[in-house]
Amino acid sequence: MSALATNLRLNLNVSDLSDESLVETIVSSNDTLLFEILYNRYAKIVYNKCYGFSKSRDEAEDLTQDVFLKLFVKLESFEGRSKFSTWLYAFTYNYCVNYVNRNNSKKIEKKSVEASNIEDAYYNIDEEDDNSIYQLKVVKLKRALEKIAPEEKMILLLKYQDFLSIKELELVFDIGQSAVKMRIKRAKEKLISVY
Amino acid sequence: MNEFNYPFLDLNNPLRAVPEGLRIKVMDDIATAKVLMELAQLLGLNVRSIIERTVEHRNS
Repeated sequence: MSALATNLRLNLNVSDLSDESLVETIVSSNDTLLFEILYNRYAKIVYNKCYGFSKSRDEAEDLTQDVFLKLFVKLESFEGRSKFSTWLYAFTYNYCVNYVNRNNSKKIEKKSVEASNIEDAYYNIDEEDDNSIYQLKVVKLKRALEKIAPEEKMILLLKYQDFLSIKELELVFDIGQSAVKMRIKRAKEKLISVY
Repeated sequence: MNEFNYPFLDLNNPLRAVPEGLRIKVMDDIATAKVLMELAQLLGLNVRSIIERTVEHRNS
């Protein structure tokens, strides 16, 4: 078999790999060509997520560039406890949230919630609770999302755009179920109040 | 859930195309990072942490 055919066959096989297997291979080989496959799979979605936290095309491009560089450096920290896409979305949002906070530290009211203080509280997120979210209009929603803290925006996007389960959100934020539900509830209330 | 009334799904619709040239910028970054990481490994430095800190301050 020619080298070209071998490479083609190898490429086809690599393209068939699941994200998780591809990441494992990249980490073990440090192969930049394999990382390019990962880039091809996720560049568009990462770019669009970054765009949602930026004010211009150039800013979104810079953010995306930095997310992928940081991703390459931190890829080995993916433990496979969730789907790679879930981990990557949270990774991207985290980077964007930090970016927004750094640039707007004086404008943004930061509200951190200590998980230890709310473990006893239980907030029920059910279909009825979500009705208000479903009624929002896209343009007004975009404006409202700009007005809430980026951390609140992040958890709402993970829950209602990327459809992460409460369990997955627990892993992303490394907090308990009640804390996740409380953060969602507060973020929803804030969103509705500025909508 | 009625997806037609579900605005979160429409926030990024239609998805914007990734700017041309971004792939080259990213892959140049990755190639540089890889060289630095391999050199650092030889020298016993924690270049992952250095790159991470550099990226985070680049936009400040």
